[in-house]
Amino acid sequence: MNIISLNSRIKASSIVETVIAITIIAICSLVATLVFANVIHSTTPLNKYEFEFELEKIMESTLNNNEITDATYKFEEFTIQKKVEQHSPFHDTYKIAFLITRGKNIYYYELIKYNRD
Amino acid sequence: MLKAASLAYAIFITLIIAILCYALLLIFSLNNNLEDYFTLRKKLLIHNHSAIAVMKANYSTNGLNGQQIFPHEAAISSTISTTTWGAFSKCQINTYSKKDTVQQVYLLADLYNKDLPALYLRDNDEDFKISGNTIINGDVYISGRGIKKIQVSGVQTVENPIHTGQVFTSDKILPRFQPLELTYPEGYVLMLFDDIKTNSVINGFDKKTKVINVGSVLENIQLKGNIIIRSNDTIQVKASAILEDIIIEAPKVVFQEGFIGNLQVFATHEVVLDSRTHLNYPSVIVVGSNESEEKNIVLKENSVLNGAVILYGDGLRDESKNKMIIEPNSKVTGTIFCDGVLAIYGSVNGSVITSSLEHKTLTTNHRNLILNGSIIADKIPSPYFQIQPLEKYKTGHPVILKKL
Repeated sequence: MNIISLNSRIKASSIVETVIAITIIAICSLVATLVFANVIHSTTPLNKYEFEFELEKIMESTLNNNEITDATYKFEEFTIQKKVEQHSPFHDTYKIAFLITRGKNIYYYELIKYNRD
Repeated sequence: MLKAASLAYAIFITLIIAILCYALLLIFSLNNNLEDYFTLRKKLLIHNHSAIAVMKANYSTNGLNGQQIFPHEAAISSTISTTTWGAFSKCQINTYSKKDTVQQVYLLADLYNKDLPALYLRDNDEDFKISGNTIINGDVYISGRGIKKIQVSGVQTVENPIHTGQVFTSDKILPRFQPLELTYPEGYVLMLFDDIKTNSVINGFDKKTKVINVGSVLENIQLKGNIIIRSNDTIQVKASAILEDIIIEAPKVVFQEGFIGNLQVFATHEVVLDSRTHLNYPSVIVVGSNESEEKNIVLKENSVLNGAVILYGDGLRDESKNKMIIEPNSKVTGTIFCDGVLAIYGSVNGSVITSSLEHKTLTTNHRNLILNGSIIADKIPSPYFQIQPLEKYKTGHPVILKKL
């Protein structure tokens, strides 16, 4: 019993050392939290995939069902506007523009359709 | 003795947190790059699709071959290059942005005109006769003598020949057919059949064409894609051969019983489809030359061909030497052009253009007669392709046969 108590004596850190250590860990945790928050915030929101999916459906429907008219498709978190015009440099074609508004973000896609398909 | 070292532990923990943060940033950046890549690829595909639309719109003027389109678009542009692949056009569209490229290859042909007549029979100063349970559904171009329903002596059959559609007068000369000659692409790779070590050769259309010289028999082999098979002698194609999208060039080609495939055949003398042979859409058989030699195409019983059958030559000079026979229960869906004598015992869904018709029995030979055959012009899938010389019925619009 005496042998154990003699050998396991712990040398304490000084108060200054402890304070510096706590400060370093605090700063480090803060930086880590900021990085994590930024990464999470910048990751593509789920509704981007949703609008891409909806856009693809609208494009397919436009091409396959000959829906060559202007239209607006409203969804909960975004809007897709379809605008059709004759494509002037090449005859027999339409230019179909898709404008997607999602919050402050605006995306633009353009498609040309052969009108005899 | 356990040593107190708060500072060392703190630095150690900081290091671990730093590594974790770096890993997180790395994954995030990788995810962003991947997303950018997929977005760009999607845009390239949409551009490529638009390029196809533009190419289709300019199909009659060679589809903007070799031109760059959408050069005004920021960072993305497409080029179109059109070459021939046998009787079809092969269109390659490249869309690129910086180092990323999307490439698609399509097989195109003229769109089928639904107004094509069921029959165009050259005005050979003889009556056009139908007998038995012949059905002709669609317009016909024949000599001014009109259609006669006759009974063929010695043939026991139901006598109810039917024609629905208008009757027009045809010309004394069959419309000129642009000879379909096989052109070889530039820079092809020449091979011998013995060089093939495996029993399967698949060559993409983005690669150089492989031209393979073969002997007389094709069996137990799979040949697919950008391949031309050629021989100076007869080629026998056995049922065990799997042929897809390829071209065969030989004086005579025989497809043996049970063969199924999709290909183009260019022969100078003869093509025979044995019974139960299936040439799937889009297949083409061309037999032709300007030499005054016998040319034959025979579709034996229960054979099926979806595409076009063409026999050309100097029909006025060599009509009797150019023969096409469609035997009972055989079926052609598409267009038939015969600058010679055509015997229809089977059925045709589509259009027939011929110099003359004949029906042979054991004892007699009837000219300009169809007995128990059928030509149904409107029973054709849509869209379909056509290879025919009638200017009036040329659509000038393309149909995509296949994405290669």
